[in-house]
Amino acid sequence: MILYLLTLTILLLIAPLLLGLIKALKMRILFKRPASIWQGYRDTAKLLHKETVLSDEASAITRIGPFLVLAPLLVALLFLPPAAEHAYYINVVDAFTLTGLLSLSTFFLMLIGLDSGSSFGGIGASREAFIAALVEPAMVLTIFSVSMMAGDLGVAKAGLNLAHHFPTHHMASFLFAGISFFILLLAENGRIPVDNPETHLELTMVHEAMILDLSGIYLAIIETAASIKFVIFASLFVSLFLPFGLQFSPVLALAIFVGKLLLVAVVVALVEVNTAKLRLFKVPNLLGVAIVFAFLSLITYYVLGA
Amino acid sequence: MTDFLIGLFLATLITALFTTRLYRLLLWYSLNSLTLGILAIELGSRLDDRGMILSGTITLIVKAVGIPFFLKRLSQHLGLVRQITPNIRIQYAIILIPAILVFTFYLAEPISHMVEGNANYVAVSISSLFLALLLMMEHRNIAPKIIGFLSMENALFLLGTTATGGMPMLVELGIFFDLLMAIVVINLLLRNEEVTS
Amino acid sequence: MIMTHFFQLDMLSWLFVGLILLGTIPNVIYSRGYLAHIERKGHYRLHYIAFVLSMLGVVVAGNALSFLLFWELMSLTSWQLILTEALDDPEQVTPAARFYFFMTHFGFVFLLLFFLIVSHGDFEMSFTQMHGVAGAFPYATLLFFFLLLGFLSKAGAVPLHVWLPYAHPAAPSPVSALMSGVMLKVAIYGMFRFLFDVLYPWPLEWGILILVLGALSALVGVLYALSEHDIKALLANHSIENIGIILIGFGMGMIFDTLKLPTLSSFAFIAALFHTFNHMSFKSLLFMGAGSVLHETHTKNIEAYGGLIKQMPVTALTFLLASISISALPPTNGFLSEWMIFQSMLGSSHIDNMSLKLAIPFAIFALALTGGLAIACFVKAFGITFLGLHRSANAHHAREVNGWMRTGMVLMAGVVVGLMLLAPWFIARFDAALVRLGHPGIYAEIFPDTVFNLHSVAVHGGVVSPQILLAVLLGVTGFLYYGYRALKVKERLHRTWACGYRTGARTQYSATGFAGPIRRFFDWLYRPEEHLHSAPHPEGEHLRAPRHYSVHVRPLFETALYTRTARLANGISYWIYRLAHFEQTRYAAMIFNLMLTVLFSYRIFAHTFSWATFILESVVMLISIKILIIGEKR
Repeated sequence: MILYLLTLTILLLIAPLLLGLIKALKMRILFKRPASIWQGYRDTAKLLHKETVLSDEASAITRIGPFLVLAPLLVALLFLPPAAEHAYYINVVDAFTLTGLLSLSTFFLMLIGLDSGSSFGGIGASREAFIAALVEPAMVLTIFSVSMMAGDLGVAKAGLNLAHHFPTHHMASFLFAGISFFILLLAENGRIPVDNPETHLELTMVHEAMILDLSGIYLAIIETAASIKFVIFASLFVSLFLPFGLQFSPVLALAIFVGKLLLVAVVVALVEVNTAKLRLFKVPNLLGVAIVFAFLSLITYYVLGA
Repeated sequence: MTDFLIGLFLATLITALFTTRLYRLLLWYSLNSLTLGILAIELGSRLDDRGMILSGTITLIVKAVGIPFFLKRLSQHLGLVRQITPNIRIQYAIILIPAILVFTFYLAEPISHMVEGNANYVAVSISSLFLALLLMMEHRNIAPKIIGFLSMENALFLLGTTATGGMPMLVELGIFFDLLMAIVVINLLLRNEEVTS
Repeated sequence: MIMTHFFQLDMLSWLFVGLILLGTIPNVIYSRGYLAHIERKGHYRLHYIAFVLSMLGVVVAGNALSFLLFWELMSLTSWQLILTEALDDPEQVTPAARFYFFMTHFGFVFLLLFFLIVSHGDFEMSFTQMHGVAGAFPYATLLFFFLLLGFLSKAGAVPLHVWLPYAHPAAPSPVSALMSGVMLKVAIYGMFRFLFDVLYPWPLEWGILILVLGALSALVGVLYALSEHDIKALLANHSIENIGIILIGFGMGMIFDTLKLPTLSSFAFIAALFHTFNHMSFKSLLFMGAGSVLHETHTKNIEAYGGLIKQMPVTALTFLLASISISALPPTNGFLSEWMIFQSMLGSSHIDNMSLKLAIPFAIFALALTGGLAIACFVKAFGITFLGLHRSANAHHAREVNGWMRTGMVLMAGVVVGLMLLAPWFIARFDAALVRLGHPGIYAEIFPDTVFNLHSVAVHGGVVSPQILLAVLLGVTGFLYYGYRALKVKERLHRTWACGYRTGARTQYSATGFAGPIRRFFDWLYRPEEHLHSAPHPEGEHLRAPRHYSVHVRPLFETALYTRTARLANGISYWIYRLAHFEQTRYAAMIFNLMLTVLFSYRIFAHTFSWATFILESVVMLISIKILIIGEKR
């Protein structure tokens, strides 16, 4: 139980660090002077002291919405796979519910985008809806195939099962599911081939456009939600697709877990540096790859058992 | 391990199908050949078949490094179109590729019963044969067509190594010579195309 | 005359009686408030009551006679209800009503044929007696097709769905809520009743057909809903989608039953029944919300709304609840039933039949894509209608609706929440109904330990606990909210920041623009007609006059299937007319051919069948048609 709470705390605390690390690493690779990796915490601390400026047009949705964006993600955080062997975990929520919670958060984010009445919010919400609609099938198919390999649909149990019996007989479909999930990680968190989190140019933005009209604590909440979403995806990725190092002593296992999370961040940074942002109507190409791999994973498992 | 490599082989091929840039396509082709070479070496060392190890090594050198490098030089030299948009739209591709895979897996099921041991490799190599054909079909430019042709050769090689437990060395060398000839012919063709256009 | 089985009331009937009552009671209250809007009050009241009673009659009917009587009564009264506002808007309402009348009677003909066959013309036979007759009938698939055409034309599944987007917007809103929420479910009742009671052992193909129809309906419904500007047509298209989801569950149940996996089969059927109830609740609520908005703004065009949440908070919040539920987001009831359908599909890993195993991932794909698009669609429906600035003067003058209508909506929202919180209780009822229909009861397997954990019966299945999830979500949100309150942050109002530009009602994203990316991605299906009008400015070419852009999406099925069929029929009849009046020889030849066809088909279908004679006879037919009718090329 202590371990469970410790993992939760680590995940919560490490969330801004991961995004900061990605940013710093990218700048370092591009020979710029890197921003501090602690910038995320500083931004949050700064925003917490500011007053809230609301739009004249803002309705109850903007006032309540940010909490509803963050809450499902915090709830989802409770049900993640454990980082160490004997850690406590909750298995009353399965993978479908987890994706549902993520969608719930996105749903309110899109409504916030539409609430202020500015065309930027509309752009963001419209694009996000488009991307989310195409992410959904790939996500569900990936979940199906991983849960079959793991022998349980509950993510926590699935992570443990995979750590115990690594699916060596199903390496091919496991690999396909992994590729698909990694693309989804990029797409859902608005990383570079899909969305550029750093620009404020209306041609490219998706996530930033929706939250353009938020300020103060509300903005801090949404930024926290974005980082927590990334940490959820990263920790799902490492527990489901890199399931090793759980059997060591709790402290070492946790250290390995954190190391794997950092590794994911480094890989994402490398991908971001090496790819160009896709035009919105080219995004389906990338998501199409994810959908095809998810399909492939499921049918390879079904037909060939490989 | 073999499962993993064969998955990677199929994965690179499918990614190549969605690529819209020539150099990326060459990269995917090179990775495709790389996994194939490693696969052959791995299988060869397990079966203790020196011919297979040799052909795997040649694959690594020629196909994973040599041909992509050569083609890149050639395309730079000739100024080929580097933006290669597939003719098949993405909406159809999302449905078509899984359909092809399902279909070939389904077709290969009785065949793979005949082969003892690594039954599903046959299915994967047949489906990658079809996918390579699709790669040839979906492009109008000459360069991706060549890559499609070369990927088809890769798929055949995979079929040979996995299904029969290693092709005879002689056949393998013969194929390599064919490939060499094909490259020469392609070279001539491209230069010719450049002159006429 | 003694009516032995005029009525019957078993668990399934009780279930649907419950559904009708749950759907009707809030609707009656809502109607009471809506009545001021309607001119022909007597006409409306009479048909409304008759409509509700006839729906109740259908689900408790015990023999073919009473079933068909109430079925027809239901069709006629709903047709009259659509015509309630015909005097206000004759161009739109009358053709819609005519179309509905035609479609519903198209289905009725097939139902009649079905009953004529399975009852040997004795319409007072009970349904269980029909089972024997149907079992003796050699072409069971024909009966199945009659049943499908009869019920699916009412339920609105592809390709018989075309009347829904016309009829539902034309009807007064309470009636749309009732038709979409309840009447479509009566058709689902018919599917359950007659497939289980009369045509029981199902071949595998039937289940697959229903699964395919369901997947198609789900996708087509949601795609056309996205491109719709008329809010009620949007909701009507969503009914097609949800009927599709119900049919996916139903088809999975039939497939599992044929494959002798009774537990999974029961699970899928429970999911279908649960989704039937859920759709009743949230779709009624959505239509009521749309009705309230329509009542206040006097327009159905979604582009003329905007910012209504400020004036109509009750409508907006209930609409939001229903939107979340229909988008299948946890922990709402819509999510639970869709979750159950996904779980039953997870059971496909046990199927031995390889081709079926390969086909089910496509159904999963369709269902998942539908879910994603539904979220987009309801963000659009809610966001454009209730958020932002007022897009028209009509929206500006809107006020919250009267107390009766609010009560109706709140009650319906209560039904939605009730279905979520009391899911175990409802599942127990569904389970009991399936036990009565001869399926194993699986309540104990769904809720093995407590009523809070809903388990899947698929082997690697998952768990979900709606009540706990809801409590945790509300708890966390409340905690965050009160944390924010406790900080006592200073709040300031300022105009919207739009990167230096002023925001205005006309610079907002419109519904068309919102669905733009998705429309562009699916333009191979939509084939939209785009119009861009830009007139040159009178005072010089560098100034821009107002431009007008519009997109119209024509339903593909309607043009492909219905208009072309009509055109084909027209062509054939013109050809025959020409033949009969101007070319008597050929006309005689055609009659000759017709006689040949009749004789041949008698031989083939009623006497003996062998492929050799069949091919021989078709060759003879083709030659005689070629020589006698088409003739030589000039």
